[in-house]
Amino acid sequence: MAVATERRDGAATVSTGCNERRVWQLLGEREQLRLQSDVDQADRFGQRWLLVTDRRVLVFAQDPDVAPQPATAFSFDEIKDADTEIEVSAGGLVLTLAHNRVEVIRFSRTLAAHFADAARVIRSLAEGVPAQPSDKLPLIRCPRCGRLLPGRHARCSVCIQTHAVLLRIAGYLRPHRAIAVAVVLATLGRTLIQLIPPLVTRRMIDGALQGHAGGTVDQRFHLMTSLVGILIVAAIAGAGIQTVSQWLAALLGGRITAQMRGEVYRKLEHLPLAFHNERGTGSLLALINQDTAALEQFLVQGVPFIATNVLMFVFILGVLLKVQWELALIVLIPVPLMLFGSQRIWVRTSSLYRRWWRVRAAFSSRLSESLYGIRVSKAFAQEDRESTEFDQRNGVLREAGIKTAVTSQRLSTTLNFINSTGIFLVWLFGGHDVIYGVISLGTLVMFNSYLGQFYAPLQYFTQVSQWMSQAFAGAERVFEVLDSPEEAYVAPGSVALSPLQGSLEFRDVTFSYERGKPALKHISVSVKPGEMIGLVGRSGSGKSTFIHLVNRFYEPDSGQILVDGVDLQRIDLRSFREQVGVVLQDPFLFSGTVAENIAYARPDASFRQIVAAAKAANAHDFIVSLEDGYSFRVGERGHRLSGGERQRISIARAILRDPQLLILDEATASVDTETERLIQEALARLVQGRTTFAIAHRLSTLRNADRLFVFEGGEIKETGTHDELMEMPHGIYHRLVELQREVSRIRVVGG
Amino acid sequence: MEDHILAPESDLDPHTDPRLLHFSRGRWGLRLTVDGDRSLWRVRIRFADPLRYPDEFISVLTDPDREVLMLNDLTVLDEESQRVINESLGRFYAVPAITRVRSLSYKLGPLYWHVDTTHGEREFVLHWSSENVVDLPGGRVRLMDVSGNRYDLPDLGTLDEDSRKLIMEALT
Repeated sequence: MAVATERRDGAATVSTGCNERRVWQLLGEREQLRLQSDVDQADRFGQRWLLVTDRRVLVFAQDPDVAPQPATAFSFDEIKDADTEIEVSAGGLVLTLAHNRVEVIRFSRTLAAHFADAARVIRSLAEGVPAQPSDKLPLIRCPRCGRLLPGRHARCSVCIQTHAVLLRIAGYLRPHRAIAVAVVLATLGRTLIQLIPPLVTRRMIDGALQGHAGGTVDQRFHLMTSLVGILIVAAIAGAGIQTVSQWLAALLGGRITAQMRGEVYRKLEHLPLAFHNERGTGSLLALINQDTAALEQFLVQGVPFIATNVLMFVFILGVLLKVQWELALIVLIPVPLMLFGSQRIWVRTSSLYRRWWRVRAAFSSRLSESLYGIRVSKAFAQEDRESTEFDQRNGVLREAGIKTAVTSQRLSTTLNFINSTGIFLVWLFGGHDVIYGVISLGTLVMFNSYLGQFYAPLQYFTQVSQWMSQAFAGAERVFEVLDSPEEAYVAPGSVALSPLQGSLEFRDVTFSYERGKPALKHISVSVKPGEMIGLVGRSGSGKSTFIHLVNRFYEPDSGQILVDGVDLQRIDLRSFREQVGVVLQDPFLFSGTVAENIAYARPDASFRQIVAAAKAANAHDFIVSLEDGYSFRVGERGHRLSGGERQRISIARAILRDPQLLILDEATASVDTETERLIQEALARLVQGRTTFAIAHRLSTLRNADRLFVFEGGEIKETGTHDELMEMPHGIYHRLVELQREVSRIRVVGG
Repeated sequence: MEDHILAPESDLDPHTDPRLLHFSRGRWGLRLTVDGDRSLWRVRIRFADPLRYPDEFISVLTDPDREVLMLNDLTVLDEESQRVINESLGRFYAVPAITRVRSLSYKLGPLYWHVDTTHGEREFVLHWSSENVVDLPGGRVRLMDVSGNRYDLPDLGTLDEDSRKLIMEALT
C-alpha cells in the first residue's frame, strides 16, 4: 500500500505505511491509497484527505486517523469512471456515477499528477481490476530537508549548501595543485615585499632626514642612498613576482573554466529533453559562455586579489600593533562599520547581478530566436517591428546594467568615505603624539602609508564582491546544471537489448508534459516485430508524444512501455537508442559535409556504405551533382540544401544506422509531389523488416500500414487497417479521410 | 419537457441568437439548451484570451476541445445563464493574489516564496523567465511556479512595507 502524505503548502511524499491502516481494517476494508490534498472545497489552501479502500472512495475533512468520519463516501458499485479536471490554478477529482458526476476533492496543480494517478487506481478498482498507486510520481519536497523541490527533475537547491559552492570551486584546483601552490607562494612573496616600503620610509625620515640615530651628514646621505636602493630592489622584485603570479593565475583560471565548460556541455548533452524545454536555449547559452567567463575572471583576478589583501591586512595589523598599539587601535575604529557596509553591498549587488543575468538571458534567448526566424520576419516585412522590440529589450538590458553599476558605485563611494574617517583619526591622534614626542614623524608617515594598504581589502571589497557575486551566481547555476539528474543511459540493473526484435507494448500509459494535463491517457496497445503502424489524428491529439515515449525522450507518469517484453526503463538506453532510427519533418543537419551528416549516427561507416545509404535514400543523384559532392558543406542547420534534400539525407542517415525500430514523423509533409515520390520510394525500402511508427498528415501515405492507431484527445480511439477503419462510417478515421477528400476537391475546384 | 440531446460534436449555428441560449447546472455538468428543445449536456466555458480580455470573447466548448460558439456579451443571456457562466469562469480562472510576502530568497537559481494569499498561506518555487513571469494590466504580475500554479502579485504600492522590501531586494 502506498500512503501519500501532504502538507498545507503542497508537499506530498509517497511512502509505504502500516500503522494507519487500523481504522479501515476494523471495518473490514483494505486501504489501497491515501492522498492528502492541499486545497479545500472552497478553494482555499487547506487540507482534505482522499482514502481509497478495496470497497469505497472516501473523502475526509480531517485526518482520518484522528477523525474517522468521512465527509463523503462512494461505493465502487456506483462509480462508473474517475478522472481529474484541471483549472488554471487548481483541479478536482471527478467521479462519474450512474446518474451524475461529482467532484469529490480539490487540489492544486502541485498534486495534479498524484490525483491523476489516484483516478487511475479508482477507475481500475471500479472495473474490478486490482491496481496499485504509481511509484514514479514526482517528488514535491526534498526528502532530506523537506523544502519544495525546484522542478520535476531538479535536485534540492537548498541542500546544495552555499559554502559547498566555494568548496566545489576550490575542488577544481586539485588537478592543478602545483600551479595553485606557486600562485599562493607568489602572492605571499608579493605581500611581504609590499610591506617593505613604509618601513624603509620611516627609516628615511627618522634616520636619514631628521638624523635621530645620530651620525654625520655624509653618513646620513649614505644611509639615504642605501634605503633608496632597497626601495628600488623591492619595486623590481615586486613587479617580477606580480608578472609571474598573474601569468600563473591566468593559466589556472583558463584551465579550470575550460574544464568546467567541458563538464557543463557534456552534462547538457546527457540531460533529458524535459530539462532543456524547462530552461530554454538562451539561458543555457548564457550559462556556458557568460557564467563560466565570470568564474574565470574571479579565479584569475579575484582570488589573488583577495588572498593578497587578506594577508596584507593581517601583516600590517601585526606591524602597527607592535610599533604603536594605541594608534593601531584607532586605525581599527572604522573597521566594524566598513565590514557591515561591505556585507550590505554584498547582499544588494548579488540581487542586482542576478537580475542583470535574468535580463541578459532573456535578451540572448530572444536575440537567437529572432535571428533564426529572420526569414519569417522578412517574409512578413516585420523587420522594423523586430528592431523596435530589440531596442526595447536592449533598453531594459542597458538600464539593468546601468542600475547595477551605479548602485555598486554609490555604495562603494559611501564605503570610501567611511574609510577616510580612519585617515582623519590617525592624523589627529598621530599628530598629537608626534607633537608631544610620543612617536616620531617617521612612524606617523609609516602609519599613514600602511593605512592605504590596510583599508584596501575593505575599500575594494565592493570590487571583490562584484566579482564574487557574478562568479558565485554563475557557479551556482553551473553547479545546478551539473547536479541535475541525467538520462540514465546505463541504470543499475538495466539490460542491453541487442539485437532488438522490435515488439513493443504500451500498458496503461499516461503521460503529461505539464502536471495534471495529460498528453496521453491510458494508452494500451501492442505492436509485433516488423509491423508498420500509422499514427493519425488531429494536431495535438498525442501522436508525437507517443513516439517521444517510444524513443524514451520522456518517462510515463504511470503505466509501462515494454520492448521485447522488457520494461523500457530497465533497458540500457544507449543500446536501445542505437537501434532506433528517426526521420523528422524538419530534419536537423549539423554544419559540416553531406558525408559527415549521413554518417552522424555511425561515424565509423566507410565511404562505400555512406554512398549505398544515400542511393537507397534517393539522395545520391543530387549529392553527386553538388559542386563538392559528398564533401559539400551544408551550412548551419543545412540551410544550403532544400527541404527535400535535407529530408533525403536524414533518411540516408537512418538507413546507414540500420535501425530495428523506425520512427517517421511527418517525413514527407513539406515537400513537392516529385520529391515526395522519391522520399516515399526511399522510405518503402527503409521500412522493410523493421518495426515502424509513421506519422503522416496525408492519410493516403499510410494506406499500406499494417495497422493505424487513431488518436484523439490523448487517447487511441480506433485501431485497424485502412479498410477496416473505413468501414466505420461514424469513425474518426473515416471522417478525417472524408475531410481530406473534401479539401482536395476544393483545391481542384479552386485551382 | 425533456429536450433533444445533441451529440458533443454537433454544430450549432454560430449566428444563433444568444437570447435563445440557456445555460444551467445539470447532473453531468454545465448544460447548454438551445431554443428550449436541444441541449449540449456537458459544455465548458473559457475565455479566448483571459489575460488581455478577461470579460469578453467567451468560448463555449464541448468535449473534446471543440468550440461550438463564442459569446461576446453575456448580458443578453437570462440571469441564470449569466450566473452559471460567471460561476464557471470564476472557478476555472481563480488565481490566488499575494497579499503579503513572508520570505523570499534565491537558492542556486530558483526563487523560494513564502506568502499569504487571498486563498491562504502558501509556499512555492519559481524559475524566473518570461514564460513564468507575465505583466498584467494595472501593474500586476502573474507568476507561475514550477508546478504550473499561478499567483497574482499586485502592484507593489498596495503591499506592506516589509513585503515590498523583500521583493525589491530580491528582484530589482
